[in-house]
Amino acid sequence: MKTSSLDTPQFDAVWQRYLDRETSQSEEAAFLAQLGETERSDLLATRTALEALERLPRFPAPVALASNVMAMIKPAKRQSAFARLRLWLELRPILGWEFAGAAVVASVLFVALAFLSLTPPVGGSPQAFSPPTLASHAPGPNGNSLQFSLYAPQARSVALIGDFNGWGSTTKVRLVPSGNGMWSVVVPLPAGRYQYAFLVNGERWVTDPRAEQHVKDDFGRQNAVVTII
Amino acid sequence: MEEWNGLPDKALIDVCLTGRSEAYEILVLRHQRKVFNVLYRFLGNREASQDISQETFLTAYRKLGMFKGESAYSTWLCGIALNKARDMLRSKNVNTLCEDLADHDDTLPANETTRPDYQAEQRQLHDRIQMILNRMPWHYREVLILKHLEEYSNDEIASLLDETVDNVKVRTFRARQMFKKLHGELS
Repeated sequence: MKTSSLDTPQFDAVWQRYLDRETSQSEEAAFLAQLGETERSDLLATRTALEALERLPRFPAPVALASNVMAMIKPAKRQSAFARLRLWLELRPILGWEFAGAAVVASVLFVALAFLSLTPPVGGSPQAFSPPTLASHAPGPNGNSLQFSLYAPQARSVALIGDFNGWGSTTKVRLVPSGNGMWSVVVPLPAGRYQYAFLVNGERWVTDPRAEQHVKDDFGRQNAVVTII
Repeated sequence: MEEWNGLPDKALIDVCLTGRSEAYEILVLRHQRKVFNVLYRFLGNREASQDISQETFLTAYRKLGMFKGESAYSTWLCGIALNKARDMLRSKNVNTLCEDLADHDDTLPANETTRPDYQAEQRQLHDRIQMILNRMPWHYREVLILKHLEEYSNDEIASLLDETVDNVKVRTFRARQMFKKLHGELS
């Protein structure tokens, strides 16, 4: 360690990197070898002291902390989907479009749109009245079909991928712009349980936060799950 | 709320910003331990640490729209927590809230394999380390806590303390020197 004329320790980058454990074994050996006896014992004493600091126990948070915080947060009055979208856009310019934000906006918008699009046909199935999600049942030409929609005004392309199309490897299912930043597609699917996600611009994986269930895939991504009865 | 459990912090924040305040509980539960422990080591006082933890999460909730995601949400929270803790020390004109280790509790939960004499020994050791932290100026104490207890990188500490990385390195160096000196004196 270098010392100034006033015997105040001066910053030593290698010393610091050694204590940060950023040196390789060979660097460490070379560094220790060049130190004198006093410097080496000083360095080891520093490391010993810091190791004692690192062994301090970590405690669980007080039991009531989360409930106290939530009690002080005034429950937000449920806003209309439009108001929530406006708030979101005010707080977050859409220029920096990101997957999480897009997923939330998609849900908010779709809830509003699904109510409009799920007008029950005369004598139609009660299934059409089930609570709307990002994936909603819509009448299709060949029995059951699902309508998938995503709000992504900055996207150049949106594809639907899932275990029903080999995650995009067997059949390409592209969503088409349906106006106001919405992309949508109707896919005929037989009864079953399906995992799905959206692929934006061919690279960004977007899940549906309001899906009935999520499962984590081998890459740590969350896939949405929908069941067709 | 279960549907949100697997969401990353950023997505949960977006959910909160649409008016679903209940999603915030997941963020609190996820990060309360880190925030509380940073404060507990910094202030050395359980009650004050709990109060400031609560204030931290409330402030963070009100400022959610200002979180830009340039750092991890937990890093942002720790920054708010330390700002509040420093303000409290300044307002009381003290360096620590743990002048007396009787206020401090570092007892590990007992279990079948923990011998009473080992527990007592560990307690003494932990008290000594906390005493050293208490004796250090808070601007040294905070970097040691962030670096050696929370394992933040220099870049993260710089972002959290709104400092340059070079300043953080120098401050950490000096803090380590002081910590070693005090550790030697008390051992």
